Amino acid sequence: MKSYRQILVLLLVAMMLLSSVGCTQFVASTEEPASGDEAVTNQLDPADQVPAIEFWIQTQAADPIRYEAGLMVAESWKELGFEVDAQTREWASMSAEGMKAHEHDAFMVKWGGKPERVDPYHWLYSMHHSSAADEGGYNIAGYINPVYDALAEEFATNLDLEARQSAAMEMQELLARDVPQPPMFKLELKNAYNQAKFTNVTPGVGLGVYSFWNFMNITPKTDDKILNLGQVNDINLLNPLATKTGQDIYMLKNIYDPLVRLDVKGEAVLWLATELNEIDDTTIEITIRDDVKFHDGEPLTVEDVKFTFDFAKEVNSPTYKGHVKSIESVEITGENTVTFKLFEPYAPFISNTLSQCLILPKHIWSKAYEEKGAEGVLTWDNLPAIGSGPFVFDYWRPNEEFALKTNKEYFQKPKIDAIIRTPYAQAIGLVQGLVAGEVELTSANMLPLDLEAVAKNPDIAIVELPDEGSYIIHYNMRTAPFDDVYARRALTMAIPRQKIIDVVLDGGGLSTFSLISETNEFWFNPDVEQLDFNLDAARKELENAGYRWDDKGRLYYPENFQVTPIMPE
Amino acid sequence: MRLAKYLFKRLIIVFITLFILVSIVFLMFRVIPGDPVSMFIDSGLDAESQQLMMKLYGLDKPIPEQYIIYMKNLFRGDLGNSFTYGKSVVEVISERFLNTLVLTLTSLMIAFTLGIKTGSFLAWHRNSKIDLVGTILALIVRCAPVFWTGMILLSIFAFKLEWLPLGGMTSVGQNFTGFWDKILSLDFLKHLILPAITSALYSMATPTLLMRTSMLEVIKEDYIELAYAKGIPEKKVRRRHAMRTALLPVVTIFAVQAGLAIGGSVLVETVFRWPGMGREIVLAVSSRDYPMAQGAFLFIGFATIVFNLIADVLYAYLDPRVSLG
Repeated sequence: MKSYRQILVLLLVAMMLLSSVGCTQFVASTEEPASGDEAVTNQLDPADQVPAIEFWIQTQAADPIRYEAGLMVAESWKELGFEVDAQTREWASMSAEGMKAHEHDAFMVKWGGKPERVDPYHWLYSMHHSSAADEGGYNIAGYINPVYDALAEEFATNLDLEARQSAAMEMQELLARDVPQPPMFKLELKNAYNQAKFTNVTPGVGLGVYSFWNFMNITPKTDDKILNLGQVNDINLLNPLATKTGQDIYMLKNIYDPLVRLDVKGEAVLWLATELNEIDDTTIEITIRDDVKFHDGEPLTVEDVKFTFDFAKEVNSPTYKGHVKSIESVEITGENTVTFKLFEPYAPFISNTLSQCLILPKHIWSKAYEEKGAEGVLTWDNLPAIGSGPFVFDYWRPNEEFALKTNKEYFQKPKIDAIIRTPYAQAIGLVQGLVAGEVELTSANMLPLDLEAVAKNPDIAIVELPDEGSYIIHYNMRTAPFDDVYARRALTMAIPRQKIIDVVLDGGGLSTFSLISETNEFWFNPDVEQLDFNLDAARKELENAGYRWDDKGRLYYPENFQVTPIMPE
Repeated sequence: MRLAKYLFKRLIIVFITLFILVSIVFLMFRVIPGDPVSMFIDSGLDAESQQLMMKLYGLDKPIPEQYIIYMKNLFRGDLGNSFTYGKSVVEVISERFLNTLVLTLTSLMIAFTLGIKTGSFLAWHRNSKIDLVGTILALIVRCAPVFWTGMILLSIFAFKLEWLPLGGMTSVGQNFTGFWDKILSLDFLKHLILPAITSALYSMATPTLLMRTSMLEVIKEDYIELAYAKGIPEKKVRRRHAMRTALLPVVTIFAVQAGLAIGGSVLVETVFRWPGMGREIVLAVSSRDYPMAQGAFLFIGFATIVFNLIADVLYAYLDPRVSLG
C-alpha cells in the first residue's frame, strides 16, 4: 500500500514539473511578438508564410551522391528562409509519385546522357513541351510556356539543321531564365579496365565503356581473348520489343543491328543501311546491305526491315512505340531498298528512330506471333535471342553469368572472342573483383573511394569522359512555392553546385546550367544565364519580387501576392 | 487412421493459411507506392509506352479484378509471368531454388551436425570453463551480422590468402551442360565453402544451445542413473541414452529452420554473389515485379508450413508420449 502511494506522489511531482516547463514555454512564445521591437514582425500574416517544401532524396544506399547532395541543397534552401523537409525515399515510390504522377514538390534525378539524346529532342522537346506535362509525360516540372512551345515545334519538325539549332539556342535561354527544373552538375565518368590485358578501350558518349564501339574495338593484349565484364546488375530481358532498362537495351545492340548507329560522339553513321535518301520532308528511301545474315543463317532482307516496323506497331511494343509512331508506312521499293513515309516531318527520325529500332528476324517473330499472339510476344523471354549483330547469344545463367560470343561471319569483326558478363550485386564486390583481376572492364562509375581501392592493382587503368546527362532537380510548377518564377530562381541560386562537386564528388564533376552538355558543341548554348550559387543574389531576387522575412528569418509571400509562373518579357 | 484424420485436419488449416497469405501478399504489393513501369521512365518510356506496359502486365484493370484473375490462375498452378524476365514465375523460382537449396542444405547440415555435437559436449562438461567459453562463443557468432562474418572470411581466405574464390557459384566462363554437371564439379565445391561456412556459423548457435539445454534436462533423468548403474561406459551413456532423447526439440527446430532457409539468405547471397532465392526476392520487390515477388513469398510460406507439418508428424513418431490429434 505504502509503495503505491509513493509512486503516486512521484508521478504527481513529475506531472507538475512537466506542466510548469510547458507553461513557461507557452508564456515565452506568447510574449515574444509583443517584446519584438520590429514593427514588420507584427504585420506578417501567418497565412502569408511560404509553404514548406517536401524535398525527396534518394537513400544513401541507393545513391550516395544524390543523398549527400540532396542534404546540402536542403540546408542551403533553409538558409534562404524556406522551410524544407528533406525526406529519403526509395526510387520505386519516388518515380511513381514524382516521375509519373507529378505529385512532388521537388526531387532529384540523374538523367542519363544516352547517345540518342545527343540530338537534344528529349531534353528540349519531350521534357519541356506542354503536351508532355500530363501524367506520365516527361515534362515533370509542368513547364507551360506558349513561346517555348512554338520554338519546340519548330525544332522538332523543321528539317533544316540551322533553323533547329537556332531554336535550340533560344529554348536553352528560356529554360535557364525560367528554371523549371534546373540541371545542377554532371559527373566526370570514370570507368576502369585492365590495361595489362586489353587496349584500345573506346568509350562512347553517355555509355562509357558499355558502348557498342568499345565492345567492337577493345583489343586483347594476350592470348586470352575473352573479355570479363563486371557490372552491378544483371540483364533482365532480351526481348527488344519489351525491355525497359538501359543495361538490356545496350546489350541488345550487340546482338541485333539497327539501320544506323550512333558513333562515339552520338552522331548517326550508316550501319545496316548503305544509303539514306531524303526524297522529301516525309519520305526517306533507305538501301540496306545485302551481306548480313541472322545468327541462325537466314539472310537479313528488306522484308525483315519492313516487318520490324510494321510488327512493332501492330503488337504495340512499348519499347518501340515512341520511335515508330511518326511512321505512316514502310514499303519495299526495290531489291534492297525500303521507303519510309512519315505522318509529318520529324527531325530526329534518323538519329532516334532508325538508330533505336533493332531489326528483328521475320521468320522467328512471325512464328512466335502465330503461337503466342500479340501479348505473348511482348511477354516472351526471346531466348536464345537471335539477331544479326557482331555478337551471338551464347548462354545466360541469371544473376550468375551471361555470355556472348563473336559472330565470325560479320562484316566487321570485333577483336575479342567473347564477352562474359558477371553481375556483382553490390558495388563493393565489383571493386574487389577489379582489384583481384576477376573483372577486366566495368562501366560502373568509380567513386573516389573505389578509385583508392583499385589503385592497389597497377594493371587497372581509368578512362575518363564527361557525362552527357546531368543531375537535375525537378521542381513542380503546379505547386507553391515552385509556381513562382522568382522563388524558383532564388532556390536555384541557393544550390551549392561547386561545394557539392568538391565535397561529394571529390572535384570529379562540372556545374551545368543547360541540359545540353557543353561537349555537345553543335547544340549547346554557352551564353545562357547562369544562376550559380550566390545566396546574396538569391535573397535579392526574392526581395525584389516583394518577398518578406520575419525576425526568425522565415520567408513570407509579398503583400497581395500574384504568382508569376514564367519571366515576363 | 488417426494419422490420416490428423493430416486431413492439418491440411485444411494449411490451405486456409496459404489462402490468407496469398491475399495479404497480393494486396501488400499493390498498396505500397511504386509500380513496375514508372521506375524506368528515365530510361526512355514516354507516357504512351508506360500505358502500354501497364496494360501488358494487366495492371490497368481494377484491383479486385486483378485479384480474381490471379486467384483463378493460381488454382491452375499458374503463378503468372515475371515482369522482369518474361518467363513463368514457376520456372524462375525453380532455377533459383535449386541454387539456394544446395547452399542451405550444406550449411544446415554443417550447422546441425556440429551444433548437436558441441551442444551435448558442452552439457556434459556443464559449469566448466569449456562450457562457459563455448556458450559465449556461440552467442557471439549468433549475434555477429552474417554479412560481416562473410566479408571477414572473404577478406582473409579469398582476398589475402587467395585460397578460395571471391564469389559466385563457379569460376567465370565455364559452360555447363546442366545443373548436376555444375554442382558435381570441384570448382563448384571451392565456391561453396565460404558461403556455406558463413551461414553455418550463423545458424549453428541455435542447435548448439538448444542441444545443451535439452541435454542438461535429460542428464538429470533416472534412466541415465540406471544406465550408469548397469555399468554402461560413460561415452555410450552419452551417445546412446542421453543424446537420443535430447535430440527431440532439435528435430523440431531443424524443420523450422529448413523451412525458413528455403527463402535463402539475402545477405549471404549478396555478399557471395550466389544466384539464389534471397537475391531474387530483393530484386523482385525493389523492381516491383509483383508476380515474381508474390510467387516467391507463397513458395516460402508453403515450404515453412509443410516443414512444420513434417516436424509435428516426425515428433509423434520419435516420441511415443506425444500423440496426434
